Amino acid sequence: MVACKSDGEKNFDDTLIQDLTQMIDENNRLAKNFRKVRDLVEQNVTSDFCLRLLRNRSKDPRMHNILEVDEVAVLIVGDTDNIKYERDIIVRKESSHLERLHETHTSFIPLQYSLIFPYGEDGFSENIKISEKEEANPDRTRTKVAIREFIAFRIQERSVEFGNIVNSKILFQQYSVDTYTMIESQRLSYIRANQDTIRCDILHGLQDAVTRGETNTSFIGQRVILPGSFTGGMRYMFNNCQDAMAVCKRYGYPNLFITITCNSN
Amino acid sequence: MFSFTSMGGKMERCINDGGGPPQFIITGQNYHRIGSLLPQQGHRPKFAQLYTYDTSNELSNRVSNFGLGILYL
Repeated sequence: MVACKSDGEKNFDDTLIQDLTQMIDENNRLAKNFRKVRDLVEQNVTSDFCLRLLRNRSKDPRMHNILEVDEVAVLIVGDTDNIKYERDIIVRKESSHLERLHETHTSFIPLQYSLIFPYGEDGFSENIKISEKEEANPDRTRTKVAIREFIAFRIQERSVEFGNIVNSKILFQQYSVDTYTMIESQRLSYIRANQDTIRCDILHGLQDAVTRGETNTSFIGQRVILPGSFTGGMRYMFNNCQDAMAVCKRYGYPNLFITITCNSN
Repeated sequence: MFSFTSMGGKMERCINDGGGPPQFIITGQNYHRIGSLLPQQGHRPKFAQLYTYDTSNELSNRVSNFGLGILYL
């Protein structure tokens, strides 16, 4: 299906789509929840209803590995205006705006890639603990698995899985790009939430030097400072540029600039 | 075609012109969004709505929606 021609041809094998739909219906627990909504619609229920996509489940998904439909989403019928949803996503019956999913939502990835995760397997969750062996390491301050570690872990080929992710060809490209943007936006939101700790840095003085002579537009609103550790950020680039200058000063200017890429095959 | 959410982000479409391996390039901010359970009046079902609305014509709805998502190389 992905191998569709770029000139907009839509030649689909109808039976394939039917088979895939049936497969998703039977196995995907997210789809099952949406099908429940369909049943409700077909019964011509007039009252308001909404679907609540749960973010954190009470049970450890590894300990209780049987996939329960009710654990990923809850269908609420009746008065839906007064629901406190905290950090879950509420999908309303009818609304004109689109609800944005946060990148750390457990269903973020399986909702988008239902073919890679046909069972609606869990995506990243904030409460995955690191292994006990790692935890014993005194240098280790973080006790939860980071989003990048989780994604890297998920992409690995292993004998107990078919390896849907790496075998999905072009979709794998989209998946990789998409998950990287997940990592990046998670880093950005971390930085946004931890401005106080970052501002304490000596970087503050550097910031003044870097932005001197900027136009007035940057003063509008709250300024969020990106630390030098954020790859691709202004400070990161500035630091690397300075480092490159220092290298040139010490060893002289380079004559050749060689980039090597490698094909593992 | 089977996803529940819509992926946002500006996609570079002109790069896959047949020369070289396919690439997937996006710029700007990327995000996933989900609409409502039922489409608005006069709109066709999209994404998650394909699972809930007008399911007797699900196949044709799915096919006609292909290309709305970002997966269109």
